Amino acid sequence: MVPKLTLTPPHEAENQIELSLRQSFESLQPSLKPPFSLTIPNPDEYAHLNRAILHAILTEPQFAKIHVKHLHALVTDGYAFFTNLLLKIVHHLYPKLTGSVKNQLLWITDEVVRVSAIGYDALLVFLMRQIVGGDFSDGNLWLCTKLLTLLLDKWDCLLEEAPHVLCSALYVFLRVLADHCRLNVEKLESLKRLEVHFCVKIVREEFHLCLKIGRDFIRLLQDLVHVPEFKSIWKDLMLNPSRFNTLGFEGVSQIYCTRTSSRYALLRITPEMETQLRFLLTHVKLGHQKRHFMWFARKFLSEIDKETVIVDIVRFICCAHHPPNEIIQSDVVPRWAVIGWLLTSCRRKNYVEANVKLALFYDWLFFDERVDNIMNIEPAILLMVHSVPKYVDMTNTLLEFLLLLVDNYDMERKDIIVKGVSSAFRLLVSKGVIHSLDVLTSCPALSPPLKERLSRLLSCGKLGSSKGFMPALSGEYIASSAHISRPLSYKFNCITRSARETNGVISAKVMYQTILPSYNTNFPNHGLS
Amino acid sequence: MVALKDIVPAAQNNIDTKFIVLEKGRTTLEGQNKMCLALVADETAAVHFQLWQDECDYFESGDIIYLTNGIFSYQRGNLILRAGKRGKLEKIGEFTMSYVETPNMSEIRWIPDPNNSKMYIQEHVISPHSRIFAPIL
Repeated sequence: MVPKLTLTPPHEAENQIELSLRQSFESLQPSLKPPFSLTIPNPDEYAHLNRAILHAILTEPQFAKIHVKHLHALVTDGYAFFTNLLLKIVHHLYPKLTGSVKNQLLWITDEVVRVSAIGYDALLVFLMRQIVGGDFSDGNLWLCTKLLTLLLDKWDCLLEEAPHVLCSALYVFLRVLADHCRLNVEKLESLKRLEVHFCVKIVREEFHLCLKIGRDFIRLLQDLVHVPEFKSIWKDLMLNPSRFNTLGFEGVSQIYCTRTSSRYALLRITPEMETQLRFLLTHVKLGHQKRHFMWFARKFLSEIDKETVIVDIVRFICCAHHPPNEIIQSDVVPRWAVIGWLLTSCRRKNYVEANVKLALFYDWLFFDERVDNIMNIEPAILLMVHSVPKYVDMTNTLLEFLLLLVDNYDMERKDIIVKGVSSAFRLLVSKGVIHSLDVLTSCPALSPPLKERLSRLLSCGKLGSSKGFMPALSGEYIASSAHISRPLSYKFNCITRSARETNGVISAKVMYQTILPSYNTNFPNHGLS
Repeated sequence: MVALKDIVPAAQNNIDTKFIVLEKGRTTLEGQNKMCLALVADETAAVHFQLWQDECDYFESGDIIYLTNGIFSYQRGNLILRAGKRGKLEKIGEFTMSYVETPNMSEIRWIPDPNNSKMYIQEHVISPHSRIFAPIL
């Protein structure tokens, strides 16, 4: 009986990739032992042998070293075919692989990186995508540890040959670390230390890699300011950009203005989740989405800790899933409706909800028509506008959050944010995503102070400068919105800074506050019934 | 492979089809036999499906199943699709399949074809949706 790669339950069809590896292994098993044949295989035989050897490596740990030697002796394509097989296994089968096969998979990955196989960079990135957000199971933590160890071990080589792998890893582990820091469990301690060490090493030693990520680097970093190592990084970012010794880096606004490539959003979504989300957003009709929503939630959001992945899903939907016009004009579930549903799914933890909203609006804050994509900001406006008739609480909550971000996200760079948000609104109207902003500014169900704030923001945007912008004091604002019949409590976790320029020397007082407002609205069935 | 809208009651194990499980009812025991009625569907129609013995435990709503040599026939007055003794069920995926809940092939009254007494033809629709599993809207 040939050992299996996956734990396939009865009544489940065998995966095609697994089947092809197993068939090659079964037919070539006798020739996988020394002495190895010296004849040069033709292309079909070569592929056949690669599949057989891979299966052998994964299922026969005791002979793995022999099989790898065989592979090294055989290879004529820079390991491209072999690595491609590994990519397929990771992408399609990883969650189903047995523990022992996973172990072997990480072992052979190490070897593949050591020989600089063609495609090893993609393999590392594919493995990182298998780290499940908010999953504290041993298997998931094991994968984090294994990958971090490998990345640190191969640091110099990666830095030279594949720096983008380190950028991806930084994105992944900053995000994963935020989850890990929320839980105080003994078994997480050493992993947390490793994650902090890895992230800090990149930020302090190779800051140019952080610049490559762009603004989402700040979004992730801000979730970690309560960790001492990151607190000092944050201070330097805000006050001493020269500390990073990076030529051309002048300050955090530079990062704000760099749009993050959509491939980063994919990094925190497992391939399985991506498949289901894309199916939802291309095939499922509005009005018939309930069962699919239920199945998705059952699979990916059922455990309370996993809720934080909603932040990543919203980022994925805004930045990485841009449907073509045929879909936009069809009766398929639109992106804003999925986001509305997700927002109502995270009632249990206020910080998740606030982070989800931040993910939704993040590109608004620094929007620049020249570098940004209107599709990244489209879901938020449509969600606000479409919620007006039946779910105006949603509109209120979102608009309130957006205006709160304008005032408080970064007080020192408020001009950038005012410009970003107002030009986002303007472009959405001029491109016809919505006909006019009257639907918000003249909406009777929205709170008058909110509408007033919005109008002021829009008019100051029109002047093309922030000079005429009169910031409302947040205290006054909170008081004035007290008539909105729900409790508001603000627990902000963002950095505000008051700086004073004296004779060209910046003396600044840095205040750390956490800006994550928590709302408690009754919003049980968002717009989808 | 046949679409669900084209299945016709017959005493033959010859239906090859693919569907997604929308909902499972409660599992019941009759003597040694475990049974569970489910609502399944494809892009063309829905139908009631009977899971049998360990099938009741292995399949969940959202599963995409390939049925080979299934049978669509009356059991105690209820028209159901099932694998039967000679048929086979295999999970081939999950989630990624569109479906409709109407027509429901189990909620149609069939009568013998006047031209061919061995065949059934549709007489009328009893209910557009399953009367056992209400549609979730």
